Amino acid sequence: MEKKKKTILLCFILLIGASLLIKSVLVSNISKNITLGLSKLPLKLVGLSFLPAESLVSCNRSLREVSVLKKENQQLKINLMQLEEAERENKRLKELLSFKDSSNFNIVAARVISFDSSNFRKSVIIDKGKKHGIKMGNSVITQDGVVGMVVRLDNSTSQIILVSDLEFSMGAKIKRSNAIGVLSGSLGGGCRLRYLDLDEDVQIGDEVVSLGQNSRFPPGIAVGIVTEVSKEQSGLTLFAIVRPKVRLSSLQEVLVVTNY
Amino acid sequence: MMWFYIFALIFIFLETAFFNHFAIFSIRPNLILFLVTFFSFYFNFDIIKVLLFCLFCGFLKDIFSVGPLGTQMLVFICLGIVLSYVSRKFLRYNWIFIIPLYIFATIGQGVIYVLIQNIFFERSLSLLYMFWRVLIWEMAYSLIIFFIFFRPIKKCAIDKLT
Repeated sequence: MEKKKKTILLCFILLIGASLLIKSVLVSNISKNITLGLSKLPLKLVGLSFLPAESLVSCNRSLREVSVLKKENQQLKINLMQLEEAERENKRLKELLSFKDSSNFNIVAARVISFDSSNFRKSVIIDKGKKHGIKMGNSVITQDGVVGMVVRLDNSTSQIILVSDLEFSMGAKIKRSNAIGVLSGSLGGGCRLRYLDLDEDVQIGDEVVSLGQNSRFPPGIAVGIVTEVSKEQSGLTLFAIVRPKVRLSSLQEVLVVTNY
Repeated sequence: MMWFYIFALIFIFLETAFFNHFAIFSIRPNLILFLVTFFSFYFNFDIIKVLLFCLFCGFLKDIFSVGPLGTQMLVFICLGIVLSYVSRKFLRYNWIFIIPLYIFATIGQGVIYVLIQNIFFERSLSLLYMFWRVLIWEMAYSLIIFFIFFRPIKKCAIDKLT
């Protein structure tokens, strides 16, 4: 009986040993994974707790980078605008300079610093005056055409009435047909060429130039284009509406003809 | 009170430099006239204060204009007297009253300007011509701008006055 018990115990131990051996051979990978997985679990938990903090830090860094880049972008845009403006100014000044060189007049270049405050008058103030050689009545032009005339003088500034002012007048002619008239302003940004003979050949699209005979303006300077031709109320003469060639609302640089 | 003088300086700068590039039929909004109308009517100030402000605004207009010095001063003083009289009679704290008053002030300004030019400087300006060429556009343009500037001016002025 005692021997039988010992045999059963031995068999049981052998069975356990064999089963352990089989388990260690067949299921080693699974067990390894399980044990490794279990061992990594705390590490992963700790890692997960670090993840939001890390992403927050990187997000904050990205936001800072974005704001820096935005500022840089804005600065670059401003620089680009300034460069474009400088390029435009350069082009304008080059054109003025080439006009100044090609003409035989004594010319003083000036910059427009202010426009008239009243809608009843059309005038500008320029940054050159008596000390630069400008005199009352000097004509003011640009490379595009006639601008106006100096009417008020100071040491370092001058006031100019534009061709669209009601008080402005000058001798002018139609370039194509040589029809002579008196050009005066009409407030609305345009001018009127008046006292044209009824039989004169004046057509829409004709170019109007300065007359120049004993005038303050040099001869042949472009003034504008005829946009309308009508009879005066009296019926004795014609008048033409002339659109100035120079854009008077955006004048920036002008040339004052001091002698021609 | 000081705010109105500051606004006058800002407006004259805007009129002579900024709005010139946004002129419609070569007409710019008359912001100074709007300010004078607002000042004279809306706050029922003492007549001396109104006249001083009108004189200041007229002077600003005159020094930036090619016309004879004093023309705009006279125009604004006349307007100031009429507007402050209307203000005492019909004072209403409602912005809608400013619009007809501004239209009246614009036409009044044209009439006084033409009269001064024709009487003192022997010119032959036509009021009708001025109306169609200048005043009607000036009125329309100024009223559009009016809605932009009305609230900030009112806020500044009322905050300072109360």
